[in-house]
Amino acid sequence: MNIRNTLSVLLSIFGLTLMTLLWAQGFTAYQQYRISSERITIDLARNDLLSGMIHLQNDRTRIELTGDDAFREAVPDDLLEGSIEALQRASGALSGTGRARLQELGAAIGHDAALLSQYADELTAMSRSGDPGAIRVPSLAAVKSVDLVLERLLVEALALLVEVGMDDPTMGGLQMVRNYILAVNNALQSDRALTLQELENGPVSRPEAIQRIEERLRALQASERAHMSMVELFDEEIIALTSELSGFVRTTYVPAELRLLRAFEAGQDITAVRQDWINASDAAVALLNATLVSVFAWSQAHLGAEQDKARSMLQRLMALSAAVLLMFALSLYIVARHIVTPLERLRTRMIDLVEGDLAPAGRETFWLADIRAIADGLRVFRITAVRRERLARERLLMHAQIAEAHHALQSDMKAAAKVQLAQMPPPGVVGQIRFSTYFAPSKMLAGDTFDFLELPGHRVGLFQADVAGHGAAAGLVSVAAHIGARRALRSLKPRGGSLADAIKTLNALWSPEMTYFTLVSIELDVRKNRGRLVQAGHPHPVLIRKDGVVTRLGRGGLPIGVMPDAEFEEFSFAFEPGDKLIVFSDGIYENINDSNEIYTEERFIRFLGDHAACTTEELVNKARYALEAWSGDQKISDDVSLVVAERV
Amino acid sequence: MKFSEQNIGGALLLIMEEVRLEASNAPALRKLLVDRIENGSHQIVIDLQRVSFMDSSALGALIGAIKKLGPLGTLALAGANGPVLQLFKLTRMDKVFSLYPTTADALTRLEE
Repeated sequence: MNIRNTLSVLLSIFGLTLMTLLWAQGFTAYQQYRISSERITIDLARNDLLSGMIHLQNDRTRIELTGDDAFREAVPDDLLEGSIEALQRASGALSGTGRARLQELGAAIGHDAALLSQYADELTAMSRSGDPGAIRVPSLAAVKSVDLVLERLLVEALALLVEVGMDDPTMGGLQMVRNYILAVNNALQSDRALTLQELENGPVSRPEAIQRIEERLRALQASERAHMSMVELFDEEIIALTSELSGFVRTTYVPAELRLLRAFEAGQDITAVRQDWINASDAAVALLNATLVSVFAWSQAHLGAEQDKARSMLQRLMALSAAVLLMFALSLYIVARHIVTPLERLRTRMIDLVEGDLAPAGRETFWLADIRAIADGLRVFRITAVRRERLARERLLMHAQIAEAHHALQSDMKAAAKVQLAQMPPPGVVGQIRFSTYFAPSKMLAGDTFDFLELPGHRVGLFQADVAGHGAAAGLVSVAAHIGARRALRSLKPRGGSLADAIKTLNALWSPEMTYFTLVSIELDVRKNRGRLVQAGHPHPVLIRKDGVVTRLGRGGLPIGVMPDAEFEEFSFAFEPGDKLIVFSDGIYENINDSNEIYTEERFIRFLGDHAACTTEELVNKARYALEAWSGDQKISDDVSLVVAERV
Repeated sequence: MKFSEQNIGGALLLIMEEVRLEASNAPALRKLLVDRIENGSHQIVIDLQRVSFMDSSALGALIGAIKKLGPLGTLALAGANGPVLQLFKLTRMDKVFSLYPTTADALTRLEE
């Protein structure tokens, strides 16, 4: 899991939640709007249904009154038409809704309309036959059918009410007003029909007729009051809708009918009062229709306002959703453009850097300070890496140069070492003396050197020198010392020249700028079986007599180059066939072992005594093994040189 | 190189605290002596009591010092023993340096 994924996941979750929330809100608002629209349609349907029923009630009266009598009316051409049209409209509106139950109701109402259409056609056909009397029977049947249809329509209206329900107090009040209108119209129409029929029947059974009409009138009053009391449950404005109609029925229509009844009862001419009553009845119907229109206008306005509210809520929500989605998209863009993508690029860059791609990344500017800081860090990282790489290259180059210089130096040293080695003679017999040697420089060039040479008059010269220090400088000085010592030996006269004087000269001529050195210089006279030596700071040579007795030679002396005016003394000794003379530098006995213990000169002398019987060659080899055994893992720190001479 | 120093009278006493004076510390010894001489010390006593081994490089450093001091200065060595004393004898250094058994002897002789 990294920052990019986390951000993406969090934003996605956030976005999804937001969308869900907005969708839920929007869906609710849309539902509200759809319901409010549906309510308008249902209100239309309800109004049409009511209107159709009122028309039907009115037409029922007209059908009932169809006849040839003076009070009877002709079958009008538009009989049932208004009702059918209204019911068809109601049916169409309900069928157009999305609810199955409402569609069913619409279909039922449509069916009723079709039935009514059929009755209307039949009645019209009869009426056109021209025999008014012949129409009475079918008209009575039609009334019965219409009653059935009316009953069904009432049931359907109730079903509609049950299905849709009362939306709010206003709609409840308006529904009560509609019920009131329907009930009053019904009562009015049946009162009108009965009254007109009874009046037509004439004075035959007047008291009964009056009684029946009065009953009907009471029923009208009762129904009017009952429904009015329902309306009065609602507020003033609703009551105001019906108050005119109610007032008219109570104060005009009922008194007019009572006056008609009283005149009828008294057997007076009723033409005028009848007309008054008819007028009152027509006025009531007109008022009733006007009220119906008002109610419809009100309900439509009310529902329209509701719909407007729902619509504006939906619009507000949609605008809000659009704004929120826009903001979300913007933040998504910002996160992707300024966080996720830069991080991804920086990550790639970082991996590239780590993998060694040090190419410059180009000047990219980042919007966020943190990202800028990371980018700057990477830049510094890169610069450091580039610098480091350059340094490494330079260092490698330098190493190569050093190695080259070292190699050149080594070659020079090797060449110099060859020259130095060439100065030293190979082992062998020189002038009846057998020489065995061991030479081991601690560095490539040694401070030690030795030589042996045949001198005129059966003499052999031998010297060994040890320049203080070792390595290149000591090596060069030792070459000079070698030349000087050799010259000193060669300068000896064949008969009795002073060796001490030769060495004194060598010392006097030795440059004070040069390192001092120790020297032992020996002349062996083969004919006389004697030797003489000058010791200048060098370890005492060892003489092993033929019989194995070991003696040290010399009495010491200043090294060469310490004091220019130094004096040296000669030391003379017998050197007979079988005697062995051993000359060595301090390097052979000053080595330490693993316990940091020095081999010591005493131990070396003891070693020589223990191996007195060995040949020169054996002695050299054993000394070498002894030295190596003692040193073990320790580096031999000084030059080692050993010369063993034996008179053959 | 380990050592300690004291000024006693007009003399500088250098006490060597190394067991071995050899190629590895001879350059340091040479530098020390040259420094002291250049700073005006002309009567120098070196205590070699604790030194059990000395090689030609260290001897070279002492010889360098005596050459630098010249005829007016004195370099006295005190307490040389064992192989060190043998080395001095072998190389006849008693002709070059003043050798004394102890630093007290050396200082006394220098004062005279």
